[in-house]
Amino acid sequence: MPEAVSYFFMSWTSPYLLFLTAAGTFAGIYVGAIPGLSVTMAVSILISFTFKWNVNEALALIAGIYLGGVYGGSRTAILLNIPGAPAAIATALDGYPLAKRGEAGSAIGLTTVVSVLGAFIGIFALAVGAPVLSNLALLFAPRDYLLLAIWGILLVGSLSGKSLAKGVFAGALGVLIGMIGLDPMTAEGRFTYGSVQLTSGVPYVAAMIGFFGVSEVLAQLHFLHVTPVKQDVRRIVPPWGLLKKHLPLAGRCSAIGTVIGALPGAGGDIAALMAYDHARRTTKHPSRPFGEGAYEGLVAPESANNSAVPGAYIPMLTLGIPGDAVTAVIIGALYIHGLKPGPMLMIETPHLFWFCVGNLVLANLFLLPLGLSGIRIFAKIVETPKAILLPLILVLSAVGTYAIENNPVHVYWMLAFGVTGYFLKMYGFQVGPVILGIILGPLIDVSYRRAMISAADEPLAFLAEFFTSPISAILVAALAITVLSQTRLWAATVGRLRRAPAT
Amino acid sequence: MSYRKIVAAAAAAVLVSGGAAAAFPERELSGVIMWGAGGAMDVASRAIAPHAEAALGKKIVMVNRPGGTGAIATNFVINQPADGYTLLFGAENPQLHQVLQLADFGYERFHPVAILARGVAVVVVKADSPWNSMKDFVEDARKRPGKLKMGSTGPGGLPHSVGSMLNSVTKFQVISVPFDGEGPGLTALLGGHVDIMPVGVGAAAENVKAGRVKALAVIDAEPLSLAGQAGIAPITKDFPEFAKYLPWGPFYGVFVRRDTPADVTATLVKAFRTAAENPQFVQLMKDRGNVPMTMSGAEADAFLKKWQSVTTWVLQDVGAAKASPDKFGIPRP
Amino acid sequence: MTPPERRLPGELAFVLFLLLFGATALWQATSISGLGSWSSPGAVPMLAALVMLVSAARVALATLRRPPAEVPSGSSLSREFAHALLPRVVVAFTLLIVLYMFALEPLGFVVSSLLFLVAGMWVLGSRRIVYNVVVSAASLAAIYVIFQTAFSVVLPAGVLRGLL
Repeated sequence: MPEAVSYFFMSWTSPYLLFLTAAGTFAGIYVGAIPGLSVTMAVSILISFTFKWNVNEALALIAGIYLGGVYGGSRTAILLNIPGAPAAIATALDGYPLAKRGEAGSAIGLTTVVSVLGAFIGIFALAVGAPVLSNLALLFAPRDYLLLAIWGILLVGSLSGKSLAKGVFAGALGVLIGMIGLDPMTAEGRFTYGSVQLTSGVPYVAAMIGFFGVSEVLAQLHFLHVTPVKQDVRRIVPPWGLLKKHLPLAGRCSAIGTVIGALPGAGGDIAALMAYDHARRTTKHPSRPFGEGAYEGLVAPESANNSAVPGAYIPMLTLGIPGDAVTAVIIGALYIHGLKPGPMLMIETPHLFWFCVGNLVLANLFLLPLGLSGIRIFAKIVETPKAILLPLILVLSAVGTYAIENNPVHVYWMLAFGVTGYFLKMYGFQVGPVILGIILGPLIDVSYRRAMISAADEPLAFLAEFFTSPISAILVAALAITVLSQTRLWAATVGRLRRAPAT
Repeated sequence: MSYRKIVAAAAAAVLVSGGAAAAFPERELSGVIMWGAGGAMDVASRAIAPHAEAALGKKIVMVNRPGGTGAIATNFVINQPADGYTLLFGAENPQLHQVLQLADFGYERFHPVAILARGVAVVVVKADSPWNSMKDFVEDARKRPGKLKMGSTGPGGLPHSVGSMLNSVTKFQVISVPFDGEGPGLTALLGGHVDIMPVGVGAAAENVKAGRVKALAVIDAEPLSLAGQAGIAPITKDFPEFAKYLPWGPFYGVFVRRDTPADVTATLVKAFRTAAENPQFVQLMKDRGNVPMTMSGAEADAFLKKWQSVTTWVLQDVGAAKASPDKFGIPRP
Repeated sequence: MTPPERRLPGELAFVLFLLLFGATALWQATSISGLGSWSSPGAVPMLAALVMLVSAARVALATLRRPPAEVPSGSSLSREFAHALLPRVVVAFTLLIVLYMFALEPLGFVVSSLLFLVAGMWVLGSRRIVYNVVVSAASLAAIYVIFQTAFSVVLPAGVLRGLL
């Protein structure tokens, strides 16, 4: 044990590692905040850069960037309605309305604190329960991923605004957009019409920036004459009372985030959406209606996406299985540095595990002051006159979309999605469900088909499989309760049961 | 920018537009990896890249473009300019794209910059499964046709090819469940969602050593011993007829479009040869159970052709091919 | 109960278009791999398109039930549509974006973005030209340094090839 402790504090006591962790966290926040620059991209670039370094130095820098980057995505989501990364999509739903109300400062402050909290819960789970959690993650069969994705897509119901039919339409449109390209399982073309550009599918980030950012820019043109709201930046650090009120929600969402982060087939974006869904269903009296600037709508996704970071480390360090795209790149880096990620890693090099845990704690400690500083300046961005701000947002959107694959065609996609999103918004459709569909559609598609193939293409056998494992049974039950709880019969029954003891 | 710098820059611009070959590479290159992050192809690509960068003096920005058994990546690269700035990091799969009708071309439209390594495949099952040899499994699969599940990576993937070869020497029927790559497939095997999976030895080595999976056979004529482990039986022990396909295995290489200017390819070949001989890279490949190689140009083309001829005809003979290799002028071995 | 809201100008045409779009998508989805197998590549696209068609039909019905858009005398539906949904500034700015995107490759990132920013700020009503140019140039410099220098994203050089 004393060895574990010394490895845990290794990056705390070496000034150079301390510096690298802080620098990584700082850089990560801005990588995350700028749309088009992703953590995966930054880490991949760093790997060739850190090739000659020692492995601990590389890992220290990467941990900082990873944690900072996932947090940083919330910044542009709140200020400009452009999620800096897919994990921040759910954050935009209530964060941007808060900025419009002049509360960008306190929104970012709260986001920072719950992000740090979420990551600590995730790190704790990594430190004490990694082997158990990774074996649990292995038990998720394709059918369970399908159930998870269906559960997620039910969020359409609460993202629809006034008309459920319009929300369902938008969600299905998103699923369909997600299907464009060569089918990953059979390599057959879907909606490709012989175009090579279409074979690789619709770039996810172009859709995200187009539907959220560009359509909002166009919609804002109607309000050019409205002077931007003055941002109240007196109170950045959230008061203890507010935090205390949201602690239970943050705790539950961090648990969701850790588990989903540990699943090899799902990452921070899905974790944040599931947490947002959870918040909507379980919060009886939100601080404001969801979608109009509810604090609960910030707390849930932000605690979940940051706890998904240590979550993704769980299968990586215990089994050598990546929990998401970033950990996949880190695994490659470990190989290149002469380590052998796999089930033997914990046995052959146990110090690496404790080094990573200690380093994540350190990066997370840095995240708090680094995240809280400079908010006053950032909040001022929203106060910039719209005539100046809107063209700048557009250039940033264009360059961010271009940067994903250096492909100018993606920029055209972005504009097309922006204009579509504008008309949808104008006629009372919400764009949230479209993005939800684009993210979950492909997961639904491959998980459903894998599960169906496993059942030899027999629908009855397919259905029967849902009752063969405890995980599937639990997910089916949870799904059934979620669906039933939205019906009137349920409300009536629960109401009667509640009243019964009193009479 | 100072006056002198502007003059220098302008002069450089003239030189470049004049096509001075010495300038290659004048900017970052991009590397397109045809399989997902964390797989055998991915690790080999990301490990060679820094050494090649050192030799070229420019960065290679690596991107994974998995999907369609590599067809998405080959399609992408073939549609980039033939200037040598877009490198394809590819495995054996495109050699099967024509007969599986995944794409209308294979590596004949690419110039092999380097074949970095070749691997051997092992057939693995979960450690607590009842089968202890390939024969056990095949017998069980015959008793329960269409009940056992084999993890695959889609048509043209390594599991598909190995499964076809096995089927051509002994008939049995399993359900093939496609995953996004060897990594996700093995993960499903560890979770018990598939029963068996043929994979490159590199992907399974650590799990075999840890005793989480059992290797029933190695697709080779010689037994394979991983560091500190009992030897893995060769497939020919249970099925001697398999010998006609051997040696067979996946390979990992770097390619550019065939019509890339010769001086550019020469620079790349030289850089990747230096990189592939780097002791660190050689050690990594050996650790992963692969055989390091440094092959390029005509020699590599011959290697690619032979591999294609053996494998496509197996697929044709077991009825797994959608179009006959004859149609594409691929000779029978 | 409040009376149902009037339709927005062009709303009926838009939802009818969505209905048509849903039908086309369903037809296209069935042609991917037909109805042969439960796990075919076309299964989920067909389901999604079907859901789209049904929900579009429901939206269309609901829209039809509402009273038509208000058209004051002396105006026309198309004029009302232009007023409510496509005011001049939206059309002008969108056209500017389209021009910018087509100029991105030939002119290069720096030149086309600078032109777009200055023109865009003018169109949106900021008349302080010098201020606009300074803000645009400073922001572009920051974007350029972050993307091109730090992240080796190769932005189109265009007319400045060789200088940057």
